[in-house]
Amino acid sequence: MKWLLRLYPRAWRDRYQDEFEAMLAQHGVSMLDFCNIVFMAARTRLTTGQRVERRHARGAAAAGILAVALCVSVGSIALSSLRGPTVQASPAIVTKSIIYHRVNGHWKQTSTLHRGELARFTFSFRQHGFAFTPLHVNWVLQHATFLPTGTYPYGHVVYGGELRTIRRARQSALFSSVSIIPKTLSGHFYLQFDCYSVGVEPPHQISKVVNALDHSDKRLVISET
Amino acid sequence: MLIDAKDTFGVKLGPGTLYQAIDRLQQQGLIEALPSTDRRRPYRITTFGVRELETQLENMQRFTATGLQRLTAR
Repeated sequence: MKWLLRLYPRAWRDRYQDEFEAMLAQHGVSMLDFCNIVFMAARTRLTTGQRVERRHARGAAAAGILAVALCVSVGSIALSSLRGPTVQASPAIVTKSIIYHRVNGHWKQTSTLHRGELARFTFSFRQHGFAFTPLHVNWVLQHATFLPTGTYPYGHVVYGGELRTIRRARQSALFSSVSIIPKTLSGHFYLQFDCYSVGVEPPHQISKVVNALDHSDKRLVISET
Repeated sequence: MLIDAKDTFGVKLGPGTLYQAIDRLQQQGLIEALPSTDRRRPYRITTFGVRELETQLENMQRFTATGLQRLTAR
């Protein structure tokens, strides 16, 4: 388990590693414990604000993403076998979301999600009974790129409002990654779509053309219910 | 501590969560580490921690009493 504890900052390891290892040796490590340790290690790195080696930061981010993907897959399989479709109709569901990102200095519409797409997602999920869908792969790819580099694979994201720094944005991305598990388990997985656009502030020209903006989470998302 | 939390309160604490709490409580001066001969390390609550805990528990007690009182009054 020593390799797992290397995800923690060096100062933390110097202080707690021995007793932490002793505790793990005594109690054993379940899959949930493993996920818990990975997340807490990433959180400790983020919250202590220590300067860490880039290699280790990338390793922690990649391990965190893989752990989340694993939890999502296991949770989704269990959920689909117990409760049927993961995405359920609800009064709060958006019928259309348009998300913009800044690509090479220009704002571009990178994705549009309609209720039909969500329905297809539900259908394929149910039909194949396979939890790790292309949507998950896309999500993992985006976050695996974003956490260490601060950019998404298809363009740079500009943060405004409360999310002015890359560090805050990374925290936000990490917490949205963590929150996907209860969302999945509660049957509201579709909310994950919105996590792609966290912190995007709309430029003036886009503000002119949109009908309604949802600023509740500092996102540039047009929602038509 | 993990077993105690589960048996007493039905809360399953993860090891990472537990040590983050220990770290935070130490930084706030609410608990302190004791010398240890083996790899396991005991902790004890400080005088300041006792005062803080008393305050918190009294607040919770008032909160619970008020809640039960209002439920009874319905």
